[in-house]
Amino acid sequence: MKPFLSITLTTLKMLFRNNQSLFFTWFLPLCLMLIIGYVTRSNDVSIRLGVVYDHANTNAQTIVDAMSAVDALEVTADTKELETAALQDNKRDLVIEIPNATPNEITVYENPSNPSQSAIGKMIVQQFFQPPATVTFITETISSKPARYIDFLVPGIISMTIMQLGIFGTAFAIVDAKQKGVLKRVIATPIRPWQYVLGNMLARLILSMTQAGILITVAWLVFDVHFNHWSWLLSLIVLGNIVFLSLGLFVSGLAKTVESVPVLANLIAFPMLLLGGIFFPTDSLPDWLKLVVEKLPIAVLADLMRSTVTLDKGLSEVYVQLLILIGWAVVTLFLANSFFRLQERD
Amino acid sequence: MEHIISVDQLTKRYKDLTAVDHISFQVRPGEIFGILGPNGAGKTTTLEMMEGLKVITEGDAVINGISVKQHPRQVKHIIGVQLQSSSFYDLMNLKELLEFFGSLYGRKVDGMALLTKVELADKWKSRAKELSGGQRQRLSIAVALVNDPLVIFLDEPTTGLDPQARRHLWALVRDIQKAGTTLILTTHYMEEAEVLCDRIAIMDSAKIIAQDTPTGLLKLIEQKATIKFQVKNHLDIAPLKQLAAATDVNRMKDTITISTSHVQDTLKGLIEYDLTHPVHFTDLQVHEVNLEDVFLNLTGKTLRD
Ligand SMILES: Nc1ncnc2c1ncn2[C@@H]1O[C@H](COP(=O)(O)OP(=O)(O)O)[C@@H](O)[C@H]1O
Ligand SMILES: [Mg+2]
Repeated sequence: MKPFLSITLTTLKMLFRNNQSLFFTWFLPLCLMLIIGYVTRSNDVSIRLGVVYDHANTNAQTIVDAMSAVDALEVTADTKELETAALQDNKRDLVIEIPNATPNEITVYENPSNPSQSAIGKMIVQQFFQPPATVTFITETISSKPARYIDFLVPGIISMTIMQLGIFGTAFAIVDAKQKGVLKRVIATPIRPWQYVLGNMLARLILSMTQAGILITVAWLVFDVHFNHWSWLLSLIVLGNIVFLSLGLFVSGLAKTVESVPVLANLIAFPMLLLGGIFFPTDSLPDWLKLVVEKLPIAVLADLMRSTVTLDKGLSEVYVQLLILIGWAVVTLFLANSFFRLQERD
Repeated sequence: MEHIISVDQLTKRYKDLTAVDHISFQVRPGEIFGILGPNGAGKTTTLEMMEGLKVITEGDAVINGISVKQHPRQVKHIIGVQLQSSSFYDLMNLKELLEFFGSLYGRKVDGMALLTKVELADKWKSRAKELSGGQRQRLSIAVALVNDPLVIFLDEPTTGLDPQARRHLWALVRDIQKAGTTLILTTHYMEEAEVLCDRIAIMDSAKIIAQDTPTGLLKLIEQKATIKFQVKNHLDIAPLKQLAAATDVNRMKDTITISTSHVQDTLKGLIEYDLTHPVHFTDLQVHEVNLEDVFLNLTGKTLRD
């Protein structure tokens, strides 16, 4: 077998055999997601409906009054600008527009963050436009911020596990192997250092993707969280791993003993865990802090990943974030390359 | 080829310390070559430079015609390495471990066959950390064998082992030699060097101070044996130095050691001296000279301190 492939497979085998680390990398994030998800689950079933219509239009007024009487609907009426803006802010599940000129062509704006609320709302609304009036519904989707907390949380937790596994997992394993002298024995073989490092990192990337896959599946089954844009999501997981695996190598280069790994790793990971917008949005932070915190790799990664869950943003809307993350990848790769040596030079 | 290994003026300098100082030696194919010296002599540093693990400050080592300095990776292909402190991945069993190391050389190895060779076949499912000291050393010799090397380096393979495990390992080393492999080993046990090695380099304070066959080394010194005995009184040792053939007399507490170049003459002299000046010695022993004495003689130090 090729040395590179062998290193990847062997590392993977060892990763799956390490029960303690499996607990921390898989079980813990999963529990965290399930617990927080359940605790914060909202029982609110009312559908927030925005209506855009001409108040002089008595026909429309009748319909709106009738809709307002429905318990499940929470109706507000305003201008198109304000209502669609409210939808973007996730304050509406559905907005309908009843034009004066063409009263039989109703435009429906759906909130993709709340697909089920939108769909139910649309079904209810359609009841008010029953034949004989032949009404055409034009459905449009407007992108919005994540609606539910769980949609915010899941990408955060996936990003967090990428970070934890990348920094802690890598540094613990490598510094331990170095300290025990296993690495020295490996270096005594004709293997090239890059083969060892890349083989190792590839195994960790595979583990990380498996882990993300599990979290995504459970989030979908239990909380109805929908990830879209799979190739985009996959690229983000890879890019995130490049950043955090590099930071893991960086910490491995700095730490001389296994005991110093958690200290150094936490110095990097803890502020990100706390402030990086994993568990709560950074909106409530003071502006100056927000400015910094929003650019942390974890915050950028989580945000980009959120854009694949509920938002329908195209690349053009997130390219700044993407550039920042790529910038981080460059910086962390440079750090890893400058501080990490498989073999101490003397 | 007369020499499979040729070390020339090999030197390692750290900031303010020269760990290996212009040493040179040659090893013939199929030999067991020993480097004997106390802790800190520079044995490990020497080996690790030859193995391509440490940067060579000066000089070079050529193994099977390949310069370590110029082609460390090519050298790594033809050598087997056992490090002084060897530990292995604990999440693999012994068989997997050997096959993994084989793959690092681009080879497909039969883990069980190798384990059989070092008598660990029944332990194949164990993890390295579950082995005893002797078993772990045999495992690390098995790892050193995964690439069918021409030369094997063993760094203090028996340090810390009990006498039985040590003998077991010696037998294994001889088996490897019989299969045609050249071995270089370091040790600070003179007995080990004496019984195991075809030739020995004695190393002290970064330098090789003597190298020869064990018998050749023993001839280096005039002394042929030591006579030891216990005394209870405050015996004046100066007259003992005048005994026939005595080369040196030492006293350590109640033990008197007389080095001699001719046992019979000195013993006869000692007994005659005792008749006139009663020594009241007990526990008289005569030892053939050994490498310990050679080392003491050359350096003024004992091997183990
Ligand atoms: N990385 C290092 N930096 C500085 N000094 C070292 C280093 N490694 C070994 N030494 C020193 O080099 C000398 C020789 O060490 P070593 O080769 O390990 O001796 P031996 O194996 O014979 O016990 C010792 O004095 C040791 O302290
Ligand atoms: Mg040593």
